[in-house]
Amino acid sequence: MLDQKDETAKDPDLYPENETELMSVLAAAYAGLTAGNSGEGFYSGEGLLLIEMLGDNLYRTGNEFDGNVGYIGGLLYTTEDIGIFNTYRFLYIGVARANQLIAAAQRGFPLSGGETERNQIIAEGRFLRALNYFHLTLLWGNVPLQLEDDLSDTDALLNNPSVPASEIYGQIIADLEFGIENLPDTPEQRGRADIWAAKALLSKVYLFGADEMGETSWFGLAESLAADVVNNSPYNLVDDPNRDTHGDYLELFDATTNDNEEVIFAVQHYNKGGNWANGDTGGRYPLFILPRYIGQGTHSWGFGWGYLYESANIRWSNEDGRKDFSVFLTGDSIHFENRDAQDLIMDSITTFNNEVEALHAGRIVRPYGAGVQKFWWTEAPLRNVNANSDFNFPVIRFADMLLIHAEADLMADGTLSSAGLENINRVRRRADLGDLSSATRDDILAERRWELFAEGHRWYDLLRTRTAEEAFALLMSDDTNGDDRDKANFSAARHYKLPYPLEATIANQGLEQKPEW
Amino acid sequence: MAIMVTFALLARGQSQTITGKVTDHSDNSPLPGVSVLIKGTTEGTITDGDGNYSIESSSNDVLAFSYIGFISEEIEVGNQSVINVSLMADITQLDEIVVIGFGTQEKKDVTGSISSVKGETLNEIPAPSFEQALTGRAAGVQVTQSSGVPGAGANINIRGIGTVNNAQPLYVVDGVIMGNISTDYAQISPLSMINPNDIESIDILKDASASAIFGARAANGVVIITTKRGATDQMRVTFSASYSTFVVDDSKFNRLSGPDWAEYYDDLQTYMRDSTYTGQPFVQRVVEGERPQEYNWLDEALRNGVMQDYGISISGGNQNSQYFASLGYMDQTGIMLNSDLKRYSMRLNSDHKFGRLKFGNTFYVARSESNRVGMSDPSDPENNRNLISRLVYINPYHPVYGDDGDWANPNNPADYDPDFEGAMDYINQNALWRMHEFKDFQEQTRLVGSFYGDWEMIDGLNLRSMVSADITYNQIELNEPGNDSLGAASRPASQTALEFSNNQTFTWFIENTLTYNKKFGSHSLTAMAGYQAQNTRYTSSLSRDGDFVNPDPDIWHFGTNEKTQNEIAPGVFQVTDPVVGDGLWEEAWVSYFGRIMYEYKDRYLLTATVRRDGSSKFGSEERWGTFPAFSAGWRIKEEAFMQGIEVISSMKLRAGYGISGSDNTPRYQYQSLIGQQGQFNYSFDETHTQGGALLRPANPFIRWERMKMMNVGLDLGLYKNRLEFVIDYFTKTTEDMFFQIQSPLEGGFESNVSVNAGEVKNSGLELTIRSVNIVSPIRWNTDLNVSFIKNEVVNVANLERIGGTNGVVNQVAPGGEIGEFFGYEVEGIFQDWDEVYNHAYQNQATTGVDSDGDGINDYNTSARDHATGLTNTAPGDVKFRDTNGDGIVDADDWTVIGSPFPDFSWGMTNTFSYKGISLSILLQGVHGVDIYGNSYGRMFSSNGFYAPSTLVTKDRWSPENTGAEYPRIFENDAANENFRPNNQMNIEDGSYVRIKNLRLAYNLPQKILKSISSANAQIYVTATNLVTFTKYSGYDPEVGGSSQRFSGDQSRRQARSWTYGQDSGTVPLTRQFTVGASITF
Repeated sequence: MLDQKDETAKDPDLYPENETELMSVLAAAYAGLTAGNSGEGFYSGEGLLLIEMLGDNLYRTGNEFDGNVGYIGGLLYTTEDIGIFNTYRFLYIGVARANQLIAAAQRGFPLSGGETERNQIIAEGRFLRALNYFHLTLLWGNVPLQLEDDLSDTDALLNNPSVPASEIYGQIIADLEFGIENLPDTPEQRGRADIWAAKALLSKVYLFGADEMGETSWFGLAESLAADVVNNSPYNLVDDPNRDTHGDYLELFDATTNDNEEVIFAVQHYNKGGNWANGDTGGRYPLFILPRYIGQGTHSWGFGWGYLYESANIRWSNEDGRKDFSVFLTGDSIHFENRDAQDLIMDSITTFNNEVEALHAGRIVRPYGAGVQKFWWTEAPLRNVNANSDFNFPVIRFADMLLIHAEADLMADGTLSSAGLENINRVRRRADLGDLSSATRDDILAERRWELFAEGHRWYDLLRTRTAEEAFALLMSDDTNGDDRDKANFSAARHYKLPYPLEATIANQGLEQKPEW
Repeated sequence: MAIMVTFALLARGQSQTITGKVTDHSDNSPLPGVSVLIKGTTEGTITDGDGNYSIESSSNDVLAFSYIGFISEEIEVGNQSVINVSLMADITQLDEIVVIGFGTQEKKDVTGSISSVKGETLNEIPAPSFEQALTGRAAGVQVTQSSGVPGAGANINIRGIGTVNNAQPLYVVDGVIMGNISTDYAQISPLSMINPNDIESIDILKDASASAIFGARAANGVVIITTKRGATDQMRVTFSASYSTFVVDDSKFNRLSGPDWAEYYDDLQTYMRDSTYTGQPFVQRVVEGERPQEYNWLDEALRNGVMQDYGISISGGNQNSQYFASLGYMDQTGIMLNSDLKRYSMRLNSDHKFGRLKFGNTFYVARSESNRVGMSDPSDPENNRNLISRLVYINPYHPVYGDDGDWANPNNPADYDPDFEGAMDYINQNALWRMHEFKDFQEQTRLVGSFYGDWEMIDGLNLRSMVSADITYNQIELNEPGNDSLGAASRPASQTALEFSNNQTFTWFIENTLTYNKKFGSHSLTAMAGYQAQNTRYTSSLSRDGDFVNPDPDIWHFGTNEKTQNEIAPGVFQVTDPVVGDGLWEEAWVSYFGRIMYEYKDRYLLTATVRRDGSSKFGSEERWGTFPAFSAGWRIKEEAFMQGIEVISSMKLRAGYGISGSDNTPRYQYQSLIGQQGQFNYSFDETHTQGGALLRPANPFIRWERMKMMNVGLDLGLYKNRLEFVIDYFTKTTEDMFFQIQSPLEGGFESNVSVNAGEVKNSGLELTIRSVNIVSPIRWNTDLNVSFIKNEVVNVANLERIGGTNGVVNQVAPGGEIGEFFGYEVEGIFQDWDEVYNHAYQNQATTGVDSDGDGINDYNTSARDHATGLTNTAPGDVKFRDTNGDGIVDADDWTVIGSPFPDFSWGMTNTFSYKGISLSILLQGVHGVDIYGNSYGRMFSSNGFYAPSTLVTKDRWSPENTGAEYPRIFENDAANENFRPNNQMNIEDGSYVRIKNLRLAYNLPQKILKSISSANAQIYVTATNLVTFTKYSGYDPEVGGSSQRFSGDQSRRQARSWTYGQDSGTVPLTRQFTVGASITF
């Protein structure tokens, strides 16, 4: 009688038992990218927010008590930072779910698609595992490598040291190569990875890895994979010659046109008006960074956690069609699409930072601040029902691939081919900017900065090229009133890679904290 | 001595006849059968039916009067010829029977540490639940009432806090284990289901040598409740009734009146802006003498509570059968509107004898119905916890009602003076509307029945079996109205909700014991072996629906199609589906145990117990635990060398050591689980897809939390036990404490794992003194108990601390106390700019005003360039200590700033009786304890929407009032964060001395009783919590103790059951006055 079982939950030894249950394990593995009831998952919000705050585009005003990322932007974080904790935790949740999927697919039960389907599902698991490890090694460098789904070996879990980043890259590359061999040409269902997603990600891994690991030969590998995606995949730039940037971007960043032809792989969000408990899986990132306005009832559209640094405003040409779409600037009006009696005009930051805003965490507002608008165009009408966004967040989109190709092309042999230059110009033309006749790596990185603004890329570009010092120096020299000093204490040894969260070093005795921490 | 006796014999004087009458001191009734003996001889007599006696003796003789149950008296004859004696009932009762679990023992033979409280003593404090009545009654037993809500439970901590988990004792009612019952601030305590009038006695097993017989679940002590049973007697019928009122004292809430509020805000605004600021129009109008209507929200929400309690009990029996039956009805209305509790209870206990076979039963049914309105908000229970604070701090000019007579609507400008600004209350709801219109109705039904048989197989060998069933059925109905367009408008119709949640538990319990009792020569032996098994199964269901269009909750029902539709996208409407839920768990225990009690020459006592428990909460490897205990007693007084010392009437030395355990950790931890909750779902093709993945790792190593306890005690009786001392010293170490720890992150687990990783030490000294101060004509008894307990955390999972984070002021850290306060130490208040700038950086301005215009911000000079103080630290702000001396005041400076546990606590009962009148006074005190007043933060961070406390407004710093206790006024408190969290400013000394209870009773004299054929009749008045002497400025220093609260991020931290000593504005305990009567026929 003492052998009691929890009858309300499935027994791991007996799960999954059939294809339907395997599909649930598959769903959970994809959900690992975004899981979390409060936006803790990487693509749900907290991870994206964290890397945006590390860079030179956005800051979050506030004081030491100002929530999860209050410490990040000002480099005040410690090993106890909850944002760092959640990001690390959820990336490993993603790894664990992927490991479970890989193991579950290898169980003996028959699948309707036979061995092809079995390998395809394993490939999806390995693709997801690679994506999670890619973020882990970019943010932390050396990290523990967990490839087992069987977690019953407690000793191994409690003594799980970090391995060199090169080993992590090796695993990522092997996983993605398996993916390229086994994934279908077009996704099985919308939201699932196809061969192009694996190729695009591997191309990016080679490019970033070439910088990170000093593997210069990887530039060439990155270039050829990127060329393959650009030339042969069914994906393409959303660029209607009859529309301006605003029109193209509206299609690209609108939840109602999710999964347009530009999106090679996106994290799927789904919101039918409930919340996570009701089976909805909306994302929270748009909510986190959009301006704060408290609407009626359960509808609100922004915590107002993202403000534009003065320097970014100065460096970003007003001619760039993407700028007006992406940020609220002085004089911009914030319309509520006829939903509210009054429209707000963004004549100064304090206007939308109204009293309600001031009440929120007692934050102090800096002059010249501006808000993020990029995902607002679709979120404003929906107003984030129950604070969850329906927007499928792009992990890799075609414009990213064009710029990856150009950069890899340039770095592989020091010269930029005409194909590479054309790829940059395709991106620029959509932004209503003129063609370049030649481009340096800095030009490409600047293009990446504005094209992929607020999408979680900027910090990785500074990090891999080790150019954060220059970027932060500019941040301060451009600043007219001396309040953009968040990154003044940047230390290369300490801040390029994050510290392991305290909880990780406590629970995993084998993980040694970095000496700088 | 021998010489004296000889002398007395030789000196016997002239013989004479002495007559007299012996009576009972309590009611002057004659005592028949009293033995009257000439001391030192065998000559004597006994009193007749009228208490009279006659004896031949001489003037040198001493007459000894003795009678069972009464204190013997010795009187020198002298010249007297008539000697009337009034005997006192012996309440010191050394031959008292103590319930020790699986048997009873005479108190003189007890070797462990046990406190006993009689039912009559408990009944002196009329309360729906017995816990409150235990306050101050027993050494080492700390009782903290969780709130003044009807039926709210209390935290009972026996000998300190041994764990960061539930530290409540194990309750055993009539031999049936009820478990460790944890009570929360707003819950109706399951213990309130027991009718206190049915309780015969409560025995508290404090040390492990006593409690180890309950083994695996006894680490926090054991409370044994024994209910009344019948007697071999004629039938007796007792009626009892009492009526109590609970009186609220408004003045203790420190609420600001309207004009005071306006004056304060005028000052605030002038200060915050500039001298030419004309102020908020509304405030100006009040300041200029206009008298708009003022509202006392607190008065509207509170009332004097009433409790009525009626009972009838019938007991009686003959040689072969005895019975006790009772009916009870209790009805209490709380001091907060719409809060009440009714309890109906029935009991039948019976015992029968048939040859060598005894059998009997206990049967109890109770039902309670309670409204907990205003106390439960499923979405945010924390909000309701401080409802009282909300009512205190609401702006007194906020209307309760609108012009239309309906509730004032915070979103409806028509309900407000147009000059008026601001929301109604910080959660933007009319709190009174909420209290009136919300329904939170809880019904609890409990049936407990047990049947036992006891067969004396041969002389001294008894086999006893008991089976019992305990069934509970609870239902909670929540009814959360919204509003129509012009109504109370605090919540939109989309937030209306109707919820029913039901749960039931079924527990069966089997116990078999074999007891052998034998005396041979000077040896006496009692050996007992037993087996117990228990199984509890819980099931629950929940249904919730909402979005009702019609605002009238009376017509709501599930399945109604009158629901609002949420527009989730332009033109896309969605009806929210009803929510259903269920729950299921099962727990089981199996135990084997044995005990040997050995006695030699009536003076050497030895007890050894061992218990082996298996619990379903642990995996097969760690499932079984063994809990041994030993104790010994030496009745020194019985030794020959003590015989000459007359002043000492009894003396016993006790020592014991034992181990007991706790399995108070979540179920099924040793198994891993697949989760299928929301965070596992995903969407493919924009369609919801159910996900499933590993939720939690298995922890096959989870094992018992173990408590090791050593106890040394001395029982000393002086002057024929008129003065009694019980002194105990103990050490208690909890090892392998359960702790929810972060699982290795790299494993990707969704939740924490329970591990055994912690150690806590308690040590203490307990002293009990009982004395009979005066015997005649007034009898005066005193009972005093004092306890000193020291608590020290040795280790919590090798962590530096748990808690002690921003907003969580309690911490558990090695070297400190469980739940000690951790935060900023306050050094005082800055008096001038020199002090501000000579102090470590808090938020002093580094850029700003150059008032002498020399182009340099020269702060620290006579030029006095300084900020205006509106956005930065300035004189009048709180000075926090820079404990690490790094020049910056920040979280690194946090230090231990207070203790939620008293250095010592005591209780003293004085009882005076004269003829039929008795007066008893219970004084109770707690010393060296701190209270963290959560409400102060709210008082001060007032931005115009709330009224701060009179304390802060009246004694705030200003250049004219530099000696003030509170800092300068400030809007939003942002400049220096004077009321930042984790702040010593919020801590006050919570020591108090309280007249806990005062009771005056009158027993009707025999003459009157005879005329109405009554055996006993009493009328009484009591006053509870009558006067409290304390420096604490809040309503009541006896604050809510801990509550099971979760932090915002449940994945990261665990339930904090160690947040002791916080005053969060719960419903306070009030004064209570009772009149009552009982009569027995």
